[in-house]
Amino acid sequence: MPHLFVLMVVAPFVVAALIPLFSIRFKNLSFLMTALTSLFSFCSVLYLVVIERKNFPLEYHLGGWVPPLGIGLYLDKLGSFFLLLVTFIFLAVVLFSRFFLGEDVEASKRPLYYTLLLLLLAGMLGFILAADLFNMFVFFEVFSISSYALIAASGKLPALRASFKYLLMGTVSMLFMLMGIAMLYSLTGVLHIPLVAKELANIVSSQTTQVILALTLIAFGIEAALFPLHTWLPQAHSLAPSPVSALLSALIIKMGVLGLIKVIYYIFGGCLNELSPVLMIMAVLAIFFGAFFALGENDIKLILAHSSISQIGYMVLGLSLATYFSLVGGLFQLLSHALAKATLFLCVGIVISQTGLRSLKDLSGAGKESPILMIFFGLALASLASLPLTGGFAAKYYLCKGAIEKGAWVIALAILVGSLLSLFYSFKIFSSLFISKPVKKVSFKLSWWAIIPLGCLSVVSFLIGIFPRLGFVLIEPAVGALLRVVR
Amino acid sequence: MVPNYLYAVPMVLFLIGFYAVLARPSLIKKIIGLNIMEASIFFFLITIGYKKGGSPPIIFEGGSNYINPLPQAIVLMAMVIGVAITALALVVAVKIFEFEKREK
Repeated sequence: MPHLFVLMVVAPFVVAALIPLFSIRFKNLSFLMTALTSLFSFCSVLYLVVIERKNFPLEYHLGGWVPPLGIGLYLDKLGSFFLLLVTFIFLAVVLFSRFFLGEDVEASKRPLYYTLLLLLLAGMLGFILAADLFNMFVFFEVFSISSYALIAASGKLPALRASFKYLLMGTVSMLFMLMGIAMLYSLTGVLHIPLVAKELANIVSSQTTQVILALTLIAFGIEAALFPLHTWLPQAHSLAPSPVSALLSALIIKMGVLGLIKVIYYIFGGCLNELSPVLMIMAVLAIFFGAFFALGENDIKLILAHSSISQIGYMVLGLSLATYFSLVGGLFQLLSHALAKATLFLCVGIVISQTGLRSLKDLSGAGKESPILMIFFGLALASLASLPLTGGFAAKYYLCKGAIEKGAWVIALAILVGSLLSLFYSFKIFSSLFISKPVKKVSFKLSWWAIIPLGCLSVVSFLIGIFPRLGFVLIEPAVGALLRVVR
Repeated sequence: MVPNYLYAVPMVLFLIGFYAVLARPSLIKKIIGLNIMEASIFFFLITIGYKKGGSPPIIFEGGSNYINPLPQAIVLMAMVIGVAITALALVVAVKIFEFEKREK
């Protein structure tokens, strides 16, 4: 089934266009269509990963035109790792949306909400699969634009401001990227990523290549919310409807990291030269500042948003150290953080929508009523705090191993101190929600639509923590694919 | 090939737009700044594709030395994205203005 590739990207687009049409007559169809489409993409990714695993890397040429003339889609082990992560978490969030949405999105706007969600999915799948610089840019914009609109979905003033801020920074990042792509094209004359890399290998590093590298790194750095470029993130992630926050924090900023991977490894072949220390310093600063901001906050969603900044730092650190173990650690961190953050934002969504409170002081002891919520919350927070036997711990272990292998003791120390800080803010949330004395009596109603997706996310996250081997099955081939393109 | 100094024009425009986005407090002016940045990149792309004395990239009898059509295709697509972003930005800006008016 070679056409499955294209179908996977096209299907969400088509269904997204159909939903507003159908929803005029059938109000409840939009959820069903979205859920079926995301199930379809999850199943097709599983098919590709399990059945076609021997034929990797897969390549597909649209309309039979071979690059450089035609457009290609490309999937290697790294891409399949990202595809699995994206489709799995997306499916869970869509199922959860059925239960949640509450006051954040009015009933009349729900079909549009699902349309935007599907566009988000289509954009992310296309971005992962694109083998063409310009297509990469287009798909990047597809999911960015739908995420700007989704943040503003509640229609309240703070959310609108957050959305506008993200829109401005996101568009500037997009323009930087387009400028970088235009310069790359003028330098090499091709847009197909492997061909660009081949051309660049023959070109001596010059000011032009450094400007291109800087432009694209800034562009994807903004999207990944790397430390000095993170200013859009706290408001955007904390004011969006909670399922959207989960998607943004678990997947969209990871797309920024994937963009960094594509630039550093697939285009420049791992030749960072002078920029490697810059990225490293930015990553270490991100780890510390994100954690400090998180410690200082009182709003529960803002704490989680700031912790995302800190956790992104570890992934970028893994990329910039560029040893085998650090890459394994970085990708492991990406996996465990995506699962943990999705669970946390969904749980926080339940807490906020059913109590109407956001600050930790008001919420103290609120979670005691619901043991099942406590289990989900506790497991995800443990992974965030990188306690032993969780995914977060394995990630930091491999990052430290990579840093020590390279002789970067300071960075290994920074990782340890950073995880200590993340333990503090995780414990801050956990203690005030589940340990301290209840201020008010609150009760939570949970339906199966909430428990099943949260349960799936938690079980996967738990299993990866107990048996890191399960994560390695995906990550080791991905790192292998990355190291193969290094020159 | 194109003389190098032609590249200076898009770069200057790019920086003017970037300045508008960064330094102007008005939301509408920020959106205009984004559009200036966008336009500068379109100029840059068109300049890349140009050849001195070249003919348009449509095959005709006796035609030779066609200019590169690919940057033009890119510009078309990027323009569409630019329109989408401007539309969304204007919608959000208008909503923000409405809220602020109501507060007063």
